[in-house]
Amino acid sequence: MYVYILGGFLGSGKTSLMLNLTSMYIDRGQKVALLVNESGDVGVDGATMKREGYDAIEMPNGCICCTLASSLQEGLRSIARDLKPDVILIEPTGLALPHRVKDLVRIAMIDEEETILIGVVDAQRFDKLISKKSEFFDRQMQGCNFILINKSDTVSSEKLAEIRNWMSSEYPDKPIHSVSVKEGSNMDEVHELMK
Amino acid sequence: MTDKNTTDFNENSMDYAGGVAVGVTGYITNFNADAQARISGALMEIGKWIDEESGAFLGHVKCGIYLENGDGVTLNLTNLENGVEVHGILEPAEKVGFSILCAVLDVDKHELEHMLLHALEDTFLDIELTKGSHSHKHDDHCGCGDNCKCGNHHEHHHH
Ligand SMILES: Nc1nc2c(ncn2[C@@H]2O[C@H](COP(=O)(O)OP(=O)(O)OP(=O)(O)O)[C@@H](O)[C@H]2O)c(=O)[nH]1
Ligand SMILES: [Mg+2]
Repeated sequence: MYVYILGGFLGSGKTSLMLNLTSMYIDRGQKVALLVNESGDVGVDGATMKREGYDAIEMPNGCICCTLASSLQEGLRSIARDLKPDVILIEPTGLALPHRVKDLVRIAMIDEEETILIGVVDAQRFDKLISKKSEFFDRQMQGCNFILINKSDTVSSEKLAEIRNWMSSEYPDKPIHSVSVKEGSNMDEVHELMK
Repeated sequence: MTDKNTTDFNENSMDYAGGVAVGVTGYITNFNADAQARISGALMEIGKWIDEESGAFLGHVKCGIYLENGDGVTLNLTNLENGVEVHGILEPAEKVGFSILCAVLDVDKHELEHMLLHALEDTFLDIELTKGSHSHKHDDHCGCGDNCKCGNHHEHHHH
């Protein structure tokens, strides 16, 4: 069993990526379990998954990287025990620190083969986020196994190259892929990475 | 940058980011394309307010509208220039469930709650809230007392 955490800022495209990857795993004939967590006590992402025909386990009323840390671990244990999926996809809130979720998965003892953290970055709002919250952005990228610069369809190729260069110099050890989840561009590349 | 070990599970990441999350859940009676457009308008209104208030709209204002069988539509606002993005199609229906979540940076939570409720009122739709994130009953006079920072009490138009 592999665990994937789809981390990244609010609205960067985590749920869209989750939909895309879920359909890919289903096509492959693999069993996926989905866990979504949202800021606050109201959820929308669970309904979005449901609309597309997928049942996600929702964790409301807190954040799985901090206030709901123990619920996350209990939830993962029951998923592993009862559903026995091949893959678990976890979407933390866009305000979470995903590397903490990774640490929590590791200590939950669910006997996973590997936990992989994907960092999702919004190309369109990149400058805005970096200029306002660079430290938070950096902490969200911590522990990522690879980074997807998403919404490549919304910026020019020059701008995309600029963002990529910036990201590669900040995070030289992390593989970076530019994608558009919406239009499907470069998603084959991402699918190949998925175990 | 290196992956330093900064795990401290006691620190609340939402506070750390300066984030706030405000949401409501409820039902809309007589849902149709016009109602959907009005809800989109309300999300835009909230987004513009956040932009002015915080200096830059950074976050996600989203709404799910759905039937019991799971059919539904999602409205997303992450960037004012893009406007509200609509995913899915929902045919007119007598009564639909909905939820709205605003998760954003650098605004006052209490003020955002007010903005959300005012924006919903401005739609003039038949809305019943089952979970308002407001801690006290909201009416035209608001009743929040002197500490309420909602700037909309007096100049707000109830057409
Ligand atoms: N143009 C474009 N829009 C995208 C892309 N990926 C996602 N979006 C849109 O961005 C908006 C937010 O996407 P979500 O997938 O809900 O983002 P999220 O990261 O799950 O958001 P939160 O859960 O609120 O943090 C939606 O309207 C998506 O359709 C993309 O590749 N290109
Ligand atoms: Mg999401």
